[in-house]
Parts: sequence; structure tokens; C-alpha cells
Amino acid sequence: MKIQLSRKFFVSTVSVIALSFCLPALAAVGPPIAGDDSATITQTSETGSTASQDQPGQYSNAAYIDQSYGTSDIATQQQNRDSFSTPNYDFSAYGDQSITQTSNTAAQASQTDNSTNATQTINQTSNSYSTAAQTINAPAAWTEYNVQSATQNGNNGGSIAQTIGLSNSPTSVASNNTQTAAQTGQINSTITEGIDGDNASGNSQTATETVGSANVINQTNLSSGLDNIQTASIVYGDSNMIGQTQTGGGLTNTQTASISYGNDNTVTQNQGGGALNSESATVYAGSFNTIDQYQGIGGGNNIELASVQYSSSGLIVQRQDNSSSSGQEYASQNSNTGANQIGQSQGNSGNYASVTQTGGTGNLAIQNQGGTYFSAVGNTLSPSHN
Amino acid sequence: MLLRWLFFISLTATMSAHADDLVSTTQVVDALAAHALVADPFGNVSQISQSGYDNIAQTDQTGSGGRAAIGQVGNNDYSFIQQTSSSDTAVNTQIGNGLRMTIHQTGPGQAISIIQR
Repeated sequence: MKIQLSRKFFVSTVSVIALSFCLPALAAVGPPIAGDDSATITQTSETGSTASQDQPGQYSNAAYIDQSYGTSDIATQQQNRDSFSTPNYDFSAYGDQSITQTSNTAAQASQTDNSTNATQTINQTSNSYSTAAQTINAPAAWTEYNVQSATQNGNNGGSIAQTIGLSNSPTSVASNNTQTAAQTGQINSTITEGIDGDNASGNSQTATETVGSANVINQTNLSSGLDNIQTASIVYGDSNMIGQTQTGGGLTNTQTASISYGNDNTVTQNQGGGALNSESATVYAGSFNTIDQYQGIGGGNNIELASVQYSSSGLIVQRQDNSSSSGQEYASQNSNTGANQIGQSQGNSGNYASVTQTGGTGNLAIQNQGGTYFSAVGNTLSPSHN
Repeated sequence: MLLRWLFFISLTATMSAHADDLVSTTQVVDALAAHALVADPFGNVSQISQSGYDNIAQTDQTGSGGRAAIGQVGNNDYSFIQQTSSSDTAVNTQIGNGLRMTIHQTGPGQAISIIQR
């Protein structure tokens, strides 16, 4: 017994000593850290119901909401979003937020997090005029490796909005994040993807419209980072618009857009100056589609690619700012019919421009190198500016 | 200089090549572009290749050392090349009927090569 008491005393003493070493560290980090929480809400055949989940813990929280066969239901999820005043505490990691809404007209889904390595997922099926919003703020550094995913199917007038890195601090890093959005069988719908952050690199934005019309895809990256990727595609759709913007210049950033089996669609790609950036757009089997590409002031060694095949009456406009150098522009319209048009404009130093047009009647190609405008020949290609 | 300018501003060239000399416009254009890229890395290079009918191709270059190539296969095509600096080169090939070609160069050390057939 005496020996056992001595052992207990020894263990207790060691514990107290260890705790006394840990306390200063905990005090420096902040309040006690919570996490590993899980919450699930299921609502069926309700009207105007609201499901809200708020998890302040820091690590590995999970939240799930499922709303089916209702009307105007609202689902809201927040993790560690209480305040920006203490950014050391208002931050989480490895969170998982998921919302599913089925046959739920005018449903609203919203997810917000300040995080790294988090996952946000929204799936909406057979709804109309529903909204899906996903936001990950960057109040501190390391807003990285987050994944936002949203799908809508048969959701006319629906919208998906994905945002990473807004409300950022001056030193925030919004890098290696992924945004994916897809809409299928919809009309008059929108996909908006945005990434900010003082230094955002290695981010990926992907948006897809399948069998839909009059839809809009808008992808934006406001940072001056590198290796950011924007990808957008339209398959079997008419009168859709794709807009891709990377404004910060940066390095080795990529924009890719494609249209297959669609008419009257428009692709607009815009990059800041920077270097070694690329814009690529393709059209396959469509009529009256427009590709408009621009790379901005002071760029170097940037490239623009536009290719149209088995189409008719297409328009390609490629512009590299007059102050840029060593740029490349390639535009091709092959196996086409009707009157197709291409306009290219570049600066004055070491640039390369290429046009190929096969098939069609009354095609027009204009190249300006060192000029500041397209000179329309005849009455076809519209004037533009650089 | 004036004579040269008048010649090129209103040039509607009709140069017949021998049948054995036939090359594709793509070959001509690619060869020129490849050569130009090596020859003058600071000058601009442009090339247009068109097939079909009633096509229009236009190239404007204002910097020195520019290289411009246009190849057209089809009828009633029109091409226009304008180079306003120096040491520029224009190559223009047209194959078909009812062709029109205008090359306008206004600087020193410039060169033109054309084929119409």
C-alpha cells in the first residue's frame, strides 16, 4: 500500500509538472480548442423551413443538412465564423459542410467558413430558382487546400456562387484551393466563382453547363499569383456566356474554355499583363459563337489560342496590349461554313500571330502588329481597340 | 522612292508560276514564319492562311524587321499587307481566279515576294 501511494504521488507530481509547462502555451494560443463535432438535420415535405448549424470548434467538424420535397427551405452552415476581431481564434481546419436539397422550389443553401483543408458541398436537384452560396474567408494566413463543390440539376433560374479569400487580411495566402460547379439541364442560371487573397497561387476553378441555354459562367481571380487555372465548358447549349478574368498579371496562369454543339455562345477571356500566361478557347460544331481574348499591359511571352471547327459564322478576336512583347496569338477556323472572322492585335516587339481559315465563304482575317485598333476591311469585322 | 511607293500602293500583281513550282500556301507560310522567327527575334511575325472563296486577309505592321505572310487558295480572294517601318518582308501567295493583292511598304530595306496563279 505504501508503495502504491508513492506511485500515485509520483504520477500526480509528473502530471502537475507537465501541465505547468503546457499552460503558458495554451494561454498564448487562445481559448480551449473544440472540434470533431458532427451535426445532422433532415427536413422532409416542409414549407419555408429553416435549418441552421453553427460550429465554433476549430478542427474536423462536420455538418449535414438534407431538405427534400419542400418549398422555399433555407439551409445555413457556419464554422468558426463568430468574429474577425480575434483572427487567431476565428479559424478552423478540416471542416466538412454538406447540404442536399431535392424537389425544393426556391430553396436556399449557404455555407461559410474561415478555414484550411475544408470541404463545402451543395447538391440541388429538381429545384427552381434555388441558390447555392459557398464562402471561405481568409482572415489570416493559410487559407489553403479548401474544396468547394456545387451541382444543380433541373434548376431553372438557379445560381451557384463560390468565393474564397474575400475579407482577406493583407498577408493572407489563398492558395491551392479548388472550386467546382456544374449545372445540367437549366436555363437562365448562373455560376460565379471568385478567388481573392493577397497572394493566391495554385488555385483551380472549374465550371460546366450541360444541355442548357441562356446561362452565365463567371470566373474571377483577383490575385497576382501563379499557376492559377480557370476552366469552363458548355456542352449542348445555346446563348450561354463564359467570362474568365485573371487581373493580377502573375505568372503561368491558365484560362481554358470550350463550347461543343452550341450556338450563339460567347467566351470572353481577360488576363492582366504578367508573363507566360495562356488563354485557350475552342468551339466544336456551333454557329455564331464568339471568342474574345485579351492580355493586358506590359505582358511578356503570353499566348492566346482560339480554335473553331465544323462551325459557321464564328468570330475570334485576340488582343495583346500594345505594350506587351514576345507574345503569341494563334487563331484557326477550320472545316467551317458561312463567313467567319478573325481579328488579331499585338504590340511592336517580337510578337507572333497566326491565322488559319479553311472552308466558308467570305472569311475575313485582320492582323495588327504595333497598331492600336483593328482596321475593318469592308463591312464585316467590328472595330475594336487595344 | 516615290516610284517604289507608287508601284506597291497600287500593286495588283499577276505573276504566273510554272506548274512544277506549285507549292501549297501552308508550306510557303510556314517556311517563311520559321525562317523569320530565327532571323529576327525582335521583329513581329504574322501569317494568314485561307481557303475557300471571297476571303479577305489583311496584315498591318508598324515595327521594324516585320515578317508578313499571306496564303490564299480559292477564288475572288483579296489580300492586303502594309508595312510602314524598315527591314520588313512580305510574302503573298494566291491561287485561284479573280484574285486581288495589294502590298504597301514605305520604309527602307524592305522586300516583297509574291505568287499568283
